[in-house]
Amino acid sequence: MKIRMSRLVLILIMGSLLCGCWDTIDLEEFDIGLISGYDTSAPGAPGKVSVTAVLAAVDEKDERIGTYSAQTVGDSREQRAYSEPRRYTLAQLQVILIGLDLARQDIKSVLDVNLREPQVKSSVNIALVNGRAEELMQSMIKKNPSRTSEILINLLQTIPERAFVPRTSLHRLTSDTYTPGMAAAVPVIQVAHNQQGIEITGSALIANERIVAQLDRKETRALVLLSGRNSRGWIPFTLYRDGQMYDEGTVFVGNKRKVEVSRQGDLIVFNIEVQLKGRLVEHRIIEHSSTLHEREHIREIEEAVARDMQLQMQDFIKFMQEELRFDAINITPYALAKWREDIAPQIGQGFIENVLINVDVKVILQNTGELG
Amino acid sequence: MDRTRFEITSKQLIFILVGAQVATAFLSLPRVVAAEAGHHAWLAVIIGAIFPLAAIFLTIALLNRFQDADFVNVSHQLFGKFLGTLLVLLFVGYVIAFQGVVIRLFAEITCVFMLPTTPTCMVTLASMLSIVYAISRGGKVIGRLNEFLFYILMVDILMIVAISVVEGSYLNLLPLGGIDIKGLMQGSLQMAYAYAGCEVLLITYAMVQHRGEILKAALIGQGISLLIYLLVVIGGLMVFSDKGLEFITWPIITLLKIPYSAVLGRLEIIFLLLWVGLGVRPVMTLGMCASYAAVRTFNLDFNRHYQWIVLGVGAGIYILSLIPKNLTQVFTWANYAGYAFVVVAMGYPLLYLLVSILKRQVRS
Repeated sequence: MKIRMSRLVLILIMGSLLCGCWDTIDLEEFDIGLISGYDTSAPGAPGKVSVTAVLAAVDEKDERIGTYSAQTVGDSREQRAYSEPRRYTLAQLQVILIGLDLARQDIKSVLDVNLREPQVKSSVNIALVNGRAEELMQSMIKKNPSRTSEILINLLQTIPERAFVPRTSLHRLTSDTYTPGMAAAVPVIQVAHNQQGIEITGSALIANERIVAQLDRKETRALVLLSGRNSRGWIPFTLYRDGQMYDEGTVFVGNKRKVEVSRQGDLIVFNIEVQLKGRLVEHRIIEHSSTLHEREHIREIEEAVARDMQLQMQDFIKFMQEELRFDAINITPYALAKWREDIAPQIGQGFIENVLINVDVKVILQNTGELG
Repeated sequence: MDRTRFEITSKQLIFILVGAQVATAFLSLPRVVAAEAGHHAWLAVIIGAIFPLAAIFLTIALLNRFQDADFVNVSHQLFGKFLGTLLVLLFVGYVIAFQGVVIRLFAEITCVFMLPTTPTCMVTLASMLSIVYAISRGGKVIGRLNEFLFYILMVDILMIVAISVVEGSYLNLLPLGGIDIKGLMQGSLQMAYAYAGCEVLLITYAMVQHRGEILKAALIGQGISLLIYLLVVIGGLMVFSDKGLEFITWPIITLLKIPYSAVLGRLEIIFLLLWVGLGVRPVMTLGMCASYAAVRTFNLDFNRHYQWIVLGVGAGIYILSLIPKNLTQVFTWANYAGYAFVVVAMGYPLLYLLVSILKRQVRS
């Protein structure tokens, strides 16, 4: 009996030492940040940076929003602590939005604080906001007070399944931004023109911790195809015969990339093969015919799509080599893998400008749906 | 408690060796090795294994020469009562100091990722209580625990490998040529420290039931540790590249935060929950060895004194774990512990072997 009692006392003492006791906190006592927005401070507001957070509805009906301006991102948490009774947790953070003004200056403050925080996942999606992140979040909360985070999270997470737009996680942005000579592509969003929701306008390229270029949707598509990020999306086409348009339509394809690198003397040559594989979604041929009977027609559509895409990609390569002067399509690692010692010193010092990049596009339409 | 509680099978020796080596160090290993050996860090993992392999061969060559291969007996036979006891106590002191660093590292990682407001000393205390209990049950229990935890380790390793394949690029490992020999050697030395734990063979050799199987078991155990380290270093390089690794304190945990997982949410937490048992294995195993050696060296009764000695060893490890002020200091201590490992794991068997050979020659 005595032994049993002493064992029980020992277990109770050990129970009091269980580490969870210190970290136990009720869910209602948390402010759970789902989306963080970072801007430069609004005119008249103190400090240099403004942090806005969309908070999960824990025991409320709707999601809430809060903005704090301070000298640094970490400092904004102190400002918040003075007025909010709940603890702020970033364990469920899903999206980081960065306003264009801040992205033009320096995003290091945003990256450092989030990478350093063990609670923040590296899979958090990042987007730039055409305008202020705070305004976009306020507008979304007004329209959809209970679904703001859901809309943003799903849009950014699933966009590569519907369009040729990059999905950029905190990890991807960091590794591309901090690799010499590389530029990271980040989607850009804004309040939709009809004011009913939000839309992706294209992407922005970030190098040396700030924006170096903004791309529209077509340029973004060329970038995604060239960089080999797996996506799927619709591509329109038009066929001409004797200078006259005789068919137009759309294909839905997924992309794949193959890169080969060789050396011709001092010149490094990249051969990029982009393969687009998918199906015909529509074609509105002027003179009625069926691809089932005119098999050549499907080849013409494939060639038309390939030609259009190749031209767009060649334009992008020209822009990248002549104006951007950063590798935005992730081809440098292929050269480094062969000649690391020779090339490493040249990276970021005229390397990407002085290579030859050839691109070839192959389109395979696997089927034409239920119609020929 | 009788000494049969310290009998282990050769299969358990495999798991004891892996358990003594693979614990907290492998979470930061890719950074530490890549900082010296660059993208050839994986090669340093293989070259670094020469140290523990040499230590294993030397230890077995030494203890094979004795009928009673008990480390304390061998020490007394070769160096006499006083010097032999001193050498054993030095070994015990080394284990206590080293495991103090290991348990502190374990507590630091637990506090950073899972229990941010819990004092480190409390995490260490709670861990030490269970460790002391496990050690007090004897070598057989430690062997079984190591075997059970080994299978959990396999789940963690599979997670790391799967994420590395999906999120990483093999290009970060190329080219294979153009090796920086100096960097590779420094990386290999760093790697050698990560194999600390193989010195456990000095004590466990005498516990194994079939002596003939020890070498094979030890080599298999070392091979498994090498393979695990190789996988995590290659995974770290593929995902972060050698340059990216420089900035990340625990790359293996950060690696687990990369994939988006709608169902499980936070993979690193699942990994760490499994790892909680794994992180304390070296403290359990080497703590048991130190306690066993201490009891034997003073020729104490196992039934009456072993558990008190275990408590003393546990208290020593706990007190030492409280001394470092911050993580940077813990890492500095871990480096010193690495140097001490090389001295102990290579120095002890080499010294003993030389003395043993000389003594036989003098006698003959």
